[in-house]
Amino acid sequence: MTTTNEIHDLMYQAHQLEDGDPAKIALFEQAINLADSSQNDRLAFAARNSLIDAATFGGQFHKAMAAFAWCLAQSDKQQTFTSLWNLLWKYKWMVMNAPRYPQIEKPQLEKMFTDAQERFQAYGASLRPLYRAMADNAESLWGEAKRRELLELYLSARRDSLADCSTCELAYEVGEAERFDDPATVIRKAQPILEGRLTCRSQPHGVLAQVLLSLVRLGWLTEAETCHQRGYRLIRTNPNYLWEMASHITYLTLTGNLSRALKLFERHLGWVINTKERAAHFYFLLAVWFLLEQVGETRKRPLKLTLLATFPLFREDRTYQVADLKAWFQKETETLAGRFNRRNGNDYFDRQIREHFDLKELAERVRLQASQPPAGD
Amino acid sequence: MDYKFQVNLQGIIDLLSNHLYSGPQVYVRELLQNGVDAIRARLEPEPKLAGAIHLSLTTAEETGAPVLVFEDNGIGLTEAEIHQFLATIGQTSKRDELNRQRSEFIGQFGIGLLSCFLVSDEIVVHTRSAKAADSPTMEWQGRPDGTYSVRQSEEVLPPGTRVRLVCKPGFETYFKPAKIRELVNFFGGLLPYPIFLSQGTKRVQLNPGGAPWTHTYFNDAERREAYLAYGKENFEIDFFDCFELKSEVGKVEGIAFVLPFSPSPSQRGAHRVYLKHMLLSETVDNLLPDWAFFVKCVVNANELRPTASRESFYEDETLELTREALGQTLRGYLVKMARENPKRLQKFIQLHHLSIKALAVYDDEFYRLVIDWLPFETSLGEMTFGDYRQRNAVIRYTPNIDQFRQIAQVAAAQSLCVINAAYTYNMQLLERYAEVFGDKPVGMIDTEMLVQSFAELTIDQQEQADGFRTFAEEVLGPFHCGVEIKIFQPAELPTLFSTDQDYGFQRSVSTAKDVADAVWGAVLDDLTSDTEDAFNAQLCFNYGNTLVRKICTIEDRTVLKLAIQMLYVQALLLGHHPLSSREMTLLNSGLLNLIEIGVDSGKGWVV
Ligand SMILES: Nc1ncnc2c1ncn2[C@@H]1O[C@H](COP(=O)(O)OP(=O)(O)O)[C@@H](O)[C@H]1O
Ligand SMILES: [Mg+2]
Repeated sequence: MTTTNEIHDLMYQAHQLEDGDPAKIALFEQAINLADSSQNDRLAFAARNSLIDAATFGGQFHKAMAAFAWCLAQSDKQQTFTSLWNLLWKYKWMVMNAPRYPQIEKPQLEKMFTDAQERFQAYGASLRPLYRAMADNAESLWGEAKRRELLELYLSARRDSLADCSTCELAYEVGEAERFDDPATVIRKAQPILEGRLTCRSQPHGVLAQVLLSLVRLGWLTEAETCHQRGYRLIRTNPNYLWEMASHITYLTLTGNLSRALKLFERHLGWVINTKERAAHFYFLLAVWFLLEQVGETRKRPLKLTLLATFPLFREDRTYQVADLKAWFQKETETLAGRFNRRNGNDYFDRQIREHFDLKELAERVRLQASQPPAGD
Repeated sequence: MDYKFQVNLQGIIDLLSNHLYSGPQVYVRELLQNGVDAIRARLEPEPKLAGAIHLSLTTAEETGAPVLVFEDNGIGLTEAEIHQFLATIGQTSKRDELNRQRSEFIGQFGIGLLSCFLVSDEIVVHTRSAKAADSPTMEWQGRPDGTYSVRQSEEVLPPGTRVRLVCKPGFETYFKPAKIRELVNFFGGLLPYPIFLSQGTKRVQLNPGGAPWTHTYFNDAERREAYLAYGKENFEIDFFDCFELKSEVGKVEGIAFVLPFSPSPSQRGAHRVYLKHMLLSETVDNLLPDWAFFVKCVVNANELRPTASRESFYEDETLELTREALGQTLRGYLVKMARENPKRLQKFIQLHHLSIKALAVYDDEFYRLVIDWLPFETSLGEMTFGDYRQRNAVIRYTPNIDQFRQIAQVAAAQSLCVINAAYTYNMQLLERYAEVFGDKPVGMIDTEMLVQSFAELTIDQQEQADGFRTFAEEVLGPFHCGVEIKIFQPAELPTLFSTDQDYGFQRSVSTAKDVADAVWGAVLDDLTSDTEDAFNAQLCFNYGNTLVRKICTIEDRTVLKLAIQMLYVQALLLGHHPLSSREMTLLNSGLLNLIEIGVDSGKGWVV
């Protein structure tokens, strides 16, 4: 087989695989290696272009950044391997995801955002999706006022071919409502996605996790359980849904289904151990810390868990003291929060921890509700 | 004073044809639906009725235009019902008092009949209600300008309804006998009532008589053969196997055909789905669980909700439960095959191991059944997991392809056999082994661990190699490559190059930094700032190798440097790592220098 054929073959195999499959990313990397070795820039570009996609939607975004930087540079050298549109489309992902790595400093992020905006403007494109992408991390980076300002800019800018799909835009709205409106509004907004009238590559996966808390707040536990079951099935093979996984664990914790929450923790711990850290790691660690705290309230005996051999507290006998685990997760969460806070120059992530632990009250309420017979109608 | 909205019928027809209907051919679907609904309505009071639909094709004497008459022996309409349902757009007789759709009927919106205006400028309906024995036969004429007339017909017909359409100029294609046959079969091939087409004195039945899974068969073999023949006829594929599908929820029934090839993602999950025995879509992709891409299905669903475009199902809870139930059927098929027909299972696995692995990852019982048959790539070639665990006391795997390549070079000499777990589901499957079976330890192995286990040099040897070690560290440090000296098998191998998980990523970042602009260069710098000083790679020299021992004695620093650099570059090439521009220079100038040294010394190669 010639090298060119081999590269095509690797890429073909990779395209067969689902988002979130590490083999998919690995195959594109092999293709890139071969193309680089044989100095075939055209295929090196094509393979990286696919890797950006696979890594962004497969939970290894850092790999997408390296590939994107290379592609952008090639395109600037006026090579016509791809349309400018394609790169700008992917630039949105960079703007949205790069701030989720605490080691990238603010000035670097801000310069990158400016670069993205200049490129969009030069292309004649609306800045709508960039405002949206920046708004996503605005509160932690610059504070609440900036977030609101960006959202207003987003809403008033026109939609064009680079805009996110309408399902995604609605999902953003649900996210906003989740943070600032009453739970009923959240559910009403999410309805078209929950019913399956609107779908896309990442929905209803995301929204099914996003509505869990609101459903619990409303006391709609049957609906919440349905969303949990449906949502978990959609995300369980893709580490890109780490944030969502954290929400599912928190949901199970709140509703007292601790054994299933521990099961999910056990199964998906690999998504944060030995992987590149990002903001979603923080939320997963926090959810597990909260879970272990709840477990520890009633359980004094050690837990039997099958955890990864590479987990720092790993034990051959599979026996773990709840307090030890809790201490570890607390420390990891706080350390990571500290790194983000230092980068951002504020205490946003500390506040996130406090808010999460405020959920104890809700857990208490659910416990009471469950112990009382439902009111007759 | 209140007025009523005036409706421009032609406007509505245009709207429907442009937005709701996929083309004029849907008039056949709508007429079939109405006929079937009418028969079902009449079956309530008269359960013994033999429902049937007759189509007949003639030419109009005056104009020569084709004429299609569509006749059913269903419930028919009274004069009052004609005004109320047939002639009122958006009115339907198929909802209950609470305006809920009645599940036995297909129609629900009261706009189906309008589709006939897509192909005909006039609809004439003769109908006689079956509700009273003395009902008169009525004649209704509707026109696209929105006017209609009703009168008692001179002709007296048996109960039922007869719709007469005269082909509009330009729409002759939709009245060709072959086209009508095709459309009837496409939309209504599974209907449980016979559909006939007559032309002159010729009369043929268009549908073979209901869905194949509703027929009775002499035995299972005959059933299987009939199903496979049906699959072949409909998809032109010789399927590997087939089995029945059933779900109480959603009232789904049908056949799953096992594909004789592994489908590409775009071919996956294109199932042909009928709703109440009328075709809904050929590309429904949300009916089966995601791992079930080894089958193509033909099913009928009675209680799932189609979307307004009628081309897929609402992603709701019923669908979710239906999917679960169908998944159980598919799983049952696989379990049965594993238990009763291991030969067939083996063949099946060759075609569809990805599906099998995807299911086994989440299903312990299934895992137990199939794991031994699954093929894995190992450092001794491909073998089934059963063979592997028979021969090895410990199950060892490498997490990625680089590690696998590195270890495979020495594994055999170390009497070690490792599984390449880089591919889809492999690692998850292997990690679950201990949980499911628990009889053998399972462990990941990487090159670093392996190098740790290699023999150390004796004190004397260490002394001899010490200067070499320090110098090699100096030479390779700039390449983020550490140095180790050990003794290992096979002795022919001068070095073993090992990399950690992050190595590929670090290299891809430096490749990108070589070309990136200032903005992105800085971003990438930050991205890797937490791992900057780490060695991601290590070159382990084999002191048991004669060449390496010779190199250790080279005194000339220039030559020694060259030798170390060349071994490093060779290790990169063997590991399929593309050379950076700096390493490329190393290779090029290194080669030239070596030649020069060789030529100068006059007696061939120094090393
Ligand atoms: N072949 C038929 N036999 C009896 N009634 C019919 C027939 N075709 C149409 N109808 C009546 O006309 C109404 C309108 O038909 P249609 O426009 O197709 O809407 P729908 O089928 O959605 O109700 C039906 O509800 C039914 O009452
Ligand atoms: Mg109808």
